[in-house]
Amino acid sequence: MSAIFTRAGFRRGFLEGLPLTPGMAAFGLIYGVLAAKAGVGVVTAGVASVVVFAGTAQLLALHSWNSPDVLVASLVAVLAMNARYFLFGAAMQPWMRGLPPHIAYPSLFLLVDANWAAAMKEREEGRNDVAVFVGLGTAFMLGWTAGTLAGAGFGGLLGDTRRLGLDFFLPAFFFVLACGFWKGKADLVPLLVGGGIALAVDAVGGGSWHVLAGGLAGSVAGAYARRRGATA
Amino acid sequence: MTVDTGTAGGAALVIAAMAAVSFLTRAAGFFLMRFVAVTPLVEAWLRALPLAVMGAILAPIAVHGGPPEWIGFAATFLVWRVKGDDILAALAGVVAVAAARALIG
Repeated sequence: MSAIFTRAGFRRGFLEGLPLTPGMAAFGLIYGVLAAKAGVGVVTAGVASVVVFAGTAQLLALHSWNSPDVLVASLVAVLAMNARYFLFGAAMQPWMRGLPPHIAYPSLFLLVDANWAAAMKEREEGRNDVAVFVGLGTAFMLGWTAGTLAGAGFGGLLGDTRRLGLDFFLPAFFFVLACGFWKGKADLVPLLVGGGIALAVDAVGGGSWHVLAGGLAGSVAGAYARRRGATA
Repeated sequence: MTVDTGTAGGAALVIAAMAAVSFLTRAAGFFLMRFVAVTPLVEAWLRALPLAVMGAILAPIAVHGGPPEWIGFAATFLVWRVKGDDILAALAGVVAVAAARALIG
């Protein structure tokens, strides 16, 4: 069954995405506040939210915004944070089969966790309108960008972001994502190996290399552990 | 390579490069799946990747943090279990950390 792309699908996706936009806006607000604090201008932060569209990666990249190695560190941040999208994109292929590339690739630009999960559910239920996915992504981007602009514009009024605990938003968000991914004891291997290697690398050097090192080591260890468990 | 984000050109370069890599991560898996056979090992690797990345991010924060961060994780988990909302749970963690820092520093 070939995928379709309809106006009605976009409308349905956009309307289903609206209830989630306040959450996206809150996330964007925190990014905007921290970006302004790091010296990123309002316009720059807003543009970044539209074209990069990766909250966790953008938050992590802020840590190195004022350091000389900002380019490398930011790209490592995007690669490390968006690494899961390799998997998500791969999983989208069967659902989007049959769409012409000039529709498929711009659609993937809007890929985030929530509309990916929705797309997998659509597929499960036998629906194949990719415009639903794009409608959801469009709603998310509007909320995320509006929040960013508000945070970067008025965040200065908030004062000390550490006192407000805003630096804890990203760790907390990742923590719940990890809880959601948790399926059983087999998941302990990637989590522990990833964490252990990250601690070791973090103790040696700065930046965000510990994320890449831990992520690679943990996932490879997890893959072999799972395979041994399956064949044993 | 050093870039000064204090200049408009430097900031634009960093954002543009981030945007390019961000799109690449979204499109690459989709593109490659047309050519790559997903063996059980590849599938197991893709499945383990998100948790490994999250473990790598969280471990240093949990180890180097103190009671406020630990309370924050506990509050986050509690709200996540009760409400099932990722962003709401993270916001609860932020509030808990702010409160804990105000009370116990």
